[in-house]
Amino acid sequence: MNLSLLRPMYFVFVLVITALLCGCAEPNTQVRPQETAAQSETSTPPHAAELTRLIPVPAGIHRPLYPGKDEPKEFSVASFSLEEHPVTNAQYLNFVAANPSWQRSKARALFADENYLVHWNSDLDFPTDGANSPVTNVSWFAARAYAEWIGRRLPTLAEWEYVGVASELSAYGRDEDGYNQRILNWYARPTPMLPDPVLSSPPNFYGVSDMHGLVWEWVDDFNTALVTGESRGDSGLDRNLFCGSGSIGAADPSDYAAFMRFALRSSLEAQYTVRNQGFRCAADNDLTSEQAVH
Amino acid sequence: MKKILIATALLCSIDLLIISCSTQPEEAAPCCSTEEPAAATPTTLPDTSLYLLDSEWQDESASARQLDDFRGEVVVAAMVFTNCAYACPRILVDLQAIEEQIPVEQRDQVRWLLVSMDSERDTPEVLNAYAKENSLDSERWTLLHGDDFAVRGIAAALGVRYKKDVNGNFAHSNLITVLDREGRIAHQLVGLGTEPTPSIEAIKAACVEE
Repeated sequence: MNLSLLRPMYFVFVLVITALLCGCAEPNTQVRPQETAAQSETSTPPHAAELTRLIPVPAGIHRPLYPGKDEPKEFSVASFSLEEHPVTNAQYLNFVAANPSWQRSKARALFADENYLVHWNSDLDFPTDGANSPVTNVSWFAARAYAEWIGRRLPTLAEWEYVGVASELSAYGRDEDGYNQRILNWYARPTPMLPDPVLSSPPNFYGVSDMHGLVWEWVDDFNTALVTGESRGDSGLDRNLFCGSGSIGAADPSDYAAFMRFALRSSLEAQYTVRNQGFRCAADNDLTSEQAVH
Repeated sequence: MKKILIATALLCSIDLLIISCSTQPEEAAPCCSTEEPAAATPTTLPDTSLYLLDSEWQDESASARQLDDFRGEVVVAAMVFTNCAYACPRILVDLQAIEEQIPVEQRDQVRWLLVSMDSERDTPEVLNAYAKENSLDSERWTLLHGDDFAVRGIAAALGVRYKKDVNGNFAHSNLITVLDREGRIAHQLVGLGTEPTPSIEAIKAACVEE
């Protein structure tokens, strides 16, 4: 897809990055075997006991980093539930075992790039000691298919950020001394070959763990990034929001951590797999209230 | 100003760290497409075909549709919402201008597809009224309504970014996509009022391919 036209600056990034770090992309040039299997499969999802615990998150106020021009600076997020930790390699193995079209050698290029599950040893074998580490190198399509398979969904960007700004002690961690710095320190560290196991750090205010410190995470509407309440001239808009002038329109320019997450999402395409990006699932609570997160 | 510079520097460095393994999906296409005897094995869609998306849609006459219904046709697709006051009417004008430049003998091979991103308001009835209002001939034009899940999926596959605002309107990328007969992206035109020659050439080329 010729999307580089849409984001010329990002294209330059990709070129530079590919040049710097091509080592990890090189070995995967094999042609994918043709598969006739349909994308959707009707395999039985795991029992509830095998699924990650859902943590209920009460409704509240979210302050988006980039409110649209005519949008309020804060708006309500309906109550929902979020998985306690990111999906692990072991959990993801169950998914691909039951849904062969999502195995590494069979996933279609429309749905995942050539580095999909590149850190696994084979279609059904993840790295030693990786069972409880977050699965990474998964595309948005793959994450969404997993969530659908277990009857859940990906969290929205607003939901993720709403939970992500909580510290261990409060719902608004970013007002706490040192909170942003801890996240930024993690962002600055090199990516390990295998992330640490999930649940190895204390849960946050809501009881949700690993929002920061292990992996970046997909959200359902990742592709809203770099669009504001203005529908004109998107290619120019990308340039205006990216890098330099990006922080001008931000609601809280000092929140570099949120700014970086925003920048990452804006640079992703749904097929991309990233070495330190995983996902977790969410679910609606049994309420009649509609999700008022958009 | 200093803050902006810091943010810029951080951004650039973090980008280096995290996008290390992502590559453009288009790189996979040339190697694979040459190996696919597409016409000979109609049951197997190419790896990059949009028709691998198995989402459910309804057209403007409320008939159930799947994307692979369009297999075999050259498709020119855009995502719109009918309440759009500015960009979408211009996308339609751009599409119609492109159509006028397609040789008459090729026009009946081309399907013009408007996919609504407004799953809430753009019901088949609304799309039908919109088609009539704009004199879109159903022999050549199809308008699609899908649920949020379907819309988010096709937008992701097309690379269309969109965001619903509090008024129910959408900010969105303006993209006109040419799909070959197997549903692979042959060309994408970015922006409004862009010089359409590359799209026209891509459509003509796709019509010639069997």
